[in-house]
Amino acid sequence: MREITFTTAAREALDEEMERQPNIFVVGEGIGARGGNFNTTLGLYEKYGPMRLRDTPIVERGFVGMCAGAAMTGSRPVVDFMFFDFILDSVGELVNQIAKMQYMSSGRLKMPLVLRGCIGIGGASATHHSGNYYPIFVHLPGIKVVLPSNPYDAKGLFKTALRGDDPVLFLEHKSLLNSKGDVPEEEYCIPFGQAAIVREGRHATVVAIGSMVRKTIEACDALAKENISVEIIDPRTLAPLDISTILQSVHKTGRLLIVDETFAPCGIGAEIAAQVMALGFDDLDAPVQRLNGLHTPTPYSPVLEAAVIPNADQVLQSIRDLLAE
Amino acid sequence: MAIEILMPRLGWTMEEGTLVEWVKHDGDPIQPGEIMFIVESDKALNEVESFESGIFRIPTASDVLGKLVPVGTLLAYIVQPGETASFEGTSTSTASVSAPMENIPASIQKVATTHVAQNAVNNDRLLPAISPRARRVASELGVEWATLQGSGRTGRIVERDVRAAANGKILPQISPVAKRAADELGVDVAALADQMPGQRITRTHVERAAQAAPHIVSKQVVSTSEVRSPLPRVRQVIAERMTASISTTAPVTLTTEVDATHLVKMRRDLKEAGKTETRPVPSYNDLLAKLTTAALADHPHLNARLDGDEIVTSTVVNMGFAMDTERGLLVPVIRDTQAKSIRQIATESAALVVRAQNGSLSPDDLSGATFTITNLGMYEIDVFTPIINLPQCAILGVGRIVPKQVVMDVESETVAIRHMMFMSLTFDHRLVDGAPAARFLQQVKRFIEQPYLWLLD
Amino acid sequence: MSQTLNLEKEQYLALYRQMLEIRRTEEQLAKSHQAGLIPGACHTYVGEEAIATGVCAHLTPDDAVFSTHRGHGHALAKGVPPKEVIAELFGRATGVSRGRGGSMHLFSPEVGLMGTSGIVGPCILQATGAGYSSKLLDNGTVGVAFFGDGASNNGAFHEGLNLAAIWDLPVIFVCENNMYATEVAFSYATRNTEVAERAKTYGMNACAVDGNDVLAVYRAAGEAVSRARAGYGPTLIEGKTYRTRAHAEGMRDAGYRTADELDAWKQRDPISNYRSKLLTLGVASDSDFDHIEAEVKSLIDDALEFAKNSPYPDPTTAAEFIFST
Repeated sequence: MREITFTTAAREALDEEMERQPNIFVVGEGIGARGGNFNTTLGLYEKYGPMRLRDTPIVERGFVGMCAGAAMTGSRPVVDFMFFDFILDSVGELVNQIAKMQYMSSGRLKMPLVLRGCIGIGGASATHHSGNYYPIFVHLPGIKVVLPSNPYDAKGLFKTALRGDDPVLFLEHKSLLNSKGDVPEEEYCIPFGQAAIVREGRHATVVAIGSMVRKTIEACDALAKENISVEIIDPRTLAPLDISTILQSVHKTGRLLIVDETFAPCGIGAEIAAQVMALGFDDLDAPVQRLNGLHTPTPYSPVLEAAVIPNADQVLQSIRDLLAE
Repeated sequence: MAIEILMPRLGWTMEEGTLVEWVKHDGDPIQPGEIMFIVESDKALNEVESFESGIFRIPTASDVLGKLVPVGTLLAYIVQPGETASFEGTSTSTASVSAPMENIPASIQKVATTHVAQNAVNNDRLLPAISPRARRVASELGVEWATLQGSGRTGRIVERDVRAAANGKILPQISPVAKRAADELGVDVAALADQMPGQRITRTHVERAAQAAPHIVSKQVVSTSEVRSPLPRVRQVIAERMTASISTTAPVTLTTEVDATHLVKMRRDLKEAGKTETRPVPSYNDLLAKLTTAALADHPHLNARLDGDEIVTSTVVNMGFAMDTERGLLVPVIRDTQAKSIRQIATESAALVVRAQNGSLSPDDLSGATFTITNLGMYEIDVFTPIINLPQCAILGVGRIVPKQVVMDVESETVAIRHMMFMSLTFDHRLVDGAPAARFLQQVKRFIEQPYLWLLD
Repeated sequence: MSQTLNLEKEQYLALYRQMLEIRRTEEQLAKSHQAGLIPGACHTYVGEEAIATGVCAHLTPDDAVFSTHRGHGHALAKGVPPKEVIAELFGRATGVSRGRGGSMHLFSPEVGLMGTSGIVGPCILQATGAGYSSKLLDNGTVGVAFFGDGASNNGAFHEGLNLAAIWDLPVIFVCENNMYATEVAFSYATRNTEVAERAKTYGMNACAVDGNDVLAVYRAAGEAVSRARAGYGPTLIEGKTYRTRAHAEGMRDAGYRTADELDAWKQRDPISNYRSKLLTLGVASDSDFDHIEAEVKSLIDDALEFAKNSPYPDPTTAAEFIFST
């Protein structure tokens, strides 16, 4: 099978769906002729023109609110934030309008709107260009949150997002953008709410979020040499969250660790832990544990930056600690 | 308020029962569902569970153990921390919550003091901590976990502790480094622990063991699509032993039918006589153990094992009983049956049954048998071919006792209705030939048909 | 008063009838609020009826209207029956938003009412998005935003007007300048109280009209809609008007405006003045108005009965319609 990068896979999905659905248009800063800061729309402007690849002024609230109106009136907008941090300038439009529009209209309006952006800590991007923030949105009804960890998932999940009628946050971790993986030529979609069992195992379950999947695989490769067998689950979509796959795994292993780059308080790990406690308490042989990045704004210096995110060694140690519980 | 624990009515017609064992002892913490004691009523041994939580108190002057007492007899109390039972302090029957601390046993005092001092918000647990999963597994396997030592980081009982207890095994004490080394080198920690009972296994032990037996078992990766569960430890042991038995012995099974009428009468008489007794009435297995021991005295070659190129004949009989438990087949052992009375055998076997049921059999209880009896009569099995319990030489299979019409005398055409039973002896032909084995079985048969014969010696 | 238009009698009377329907509905809602039939908020449009009426007279059900917290008049003028508005405020299953919205969240996509909103500002952006859809889908519709003077100090106003202007979107921005944002005077809140002038700085067409003169509004809106449909981009219409009831029913309406000011504006009531004008012009007679009055009264009486007799929504449906499927 051919190998392509995460960015290429996502761009293929966008291209294929723009071809298929003429009511899709993209807005963002520099996503027109320039092709996007992260090459998210490279080559598409030439193909689809300015009406469908619309460079915007720097008005996040403005174009997000505008896209809400467009989505209510027959278009399928894609907002390309470049850096997902910038969504915060439009949060009122997202939370009060986009997420609630279908509900307020008793299902008579649809909200086919995809909001994409680059997330995550890395590359000395410093604190205004390193945001994750997705737990905030998982908290809210009416928004789907998608966080692929590899090119295959990126393409399949993006296509599902572009075909649905709901608002979707499609989040691309900057450390994954150039990572390569197998992506078939044939068309496919990956449904939301279906976690991937990255690796089967018996002794413990690790739910790894986004970029942490790779680090967890690395850690578990080391543990495998000690005959410690860890099941790795990648939820792929955080809203909806496939809790049943996690529960089944915990039923098997009795031990659960959630590894997430972003903050612990009120985060994905907290939510998963609470649900597993409520629904799988009698399967737990140890307290559910979390490994998160530090609860701090992101520093610039690479040395400081590396200190605020979990690395493979810490994942490995956390699994050891979990097994010792 | 102290809760009174009375002799329970365990059957529709039960009027009295015998407390044969205290499972909880004075001062033990107890929680709902835990077994307090064992009562023998006219049919069976019954484990009596608590409905309450608190501290189990047995009156100091209690003499009910082993006695047949009427239903409703006061046996014990469950009190709350800091509370005294009515038998303490004064002779009046009212429990006094404000009783002086000095009346409370030291172990309880500590709890009570802490309780008061920390104003009920404390981390002192009356019971050991246990993971929810371990608690669930304990419930599934019938393991009483309150007495287990946890191997979790904070002493928490985790699943592996419960499963080990279910296997009747004490989890080996092993350092984390040694555990990792054992995993890496493929050393069987359980087997190693058996070789060095009571010692803590270190990495040096593991490495030495690996050098001595460098067979490293590579573990298979569990694959998909089917429901797979790890082989429980008990089943692993059973599987290993059965396979070893079949592949290393030369088993031959002899079968004969026995007239057990006298044995049945004997057992019935003993039971009748035992009605006024408080001690356990010998079961068929107890009687069979004793008479088989007597037969083995005349046929010591069946009380033997093969050790390399030597036959080791045991001068004592340690009788194993194959026992079906929730955890699978276990073979607890009564030692020196040649030197024990039927009464002693009966008492010991009753205790073994209890321990087998609550998962508290010790490794000693399960090792060292020289001969095994396996009885499937209660399952309406007539004849079967037992598998030799290595390293023993032979195993006696006992079928059910059924009344049958039997020809007593051909000449006079006399038939009678007799209690008949099949026996099967599987022996290892490597150690003993067919004829001597048959003679042994013949003697067992005679001892069953004429029980007084084995009472001579 | 503006010059007359060359309309048929029926058209003149239709404008009158629409204003009267709004007025009588609002009066009924005010009474119902006092009677405890409305569990939540109720912002009436009394005094401002000419604006919604004059604008919506030019719209088809395919044109998308986005409105504010004071949106009953826009809903009615866009074609929502009074009974659905009243039932909604009563919290009934037959309400225009099936009981999920209330006074500030009226939705009827069937007639092009894409929602009223409890948040000031987003409607400007959403109407801009509807304009974008119109252009992308090339369907000849217009997007219309109704908002107050308060919204013109909000970022959404400036971002939305700017986007609509740079992309020549078919959008009508209708600012109902009633001189107070809640109870804060517009003259206090901005140095430039001429909203139309502010709009012009974005390079768009804009005009200010007497918002209590339905014919003036009608004419300005007619021009704006024609320009938009013809591809000449957006227009802002500032209608200078006044609400003669409190900001919301049951709120203390004192301290921020004088009784003299209120009385002066009551004298400029858009409905009675329009009636006098039509009588003076000889377009219609008293019997015409009596007939309309009776018809509207009957409509509102029936609507009230309908609302009172309508069932409440099924509580088990409280979390329905969050997503499209």
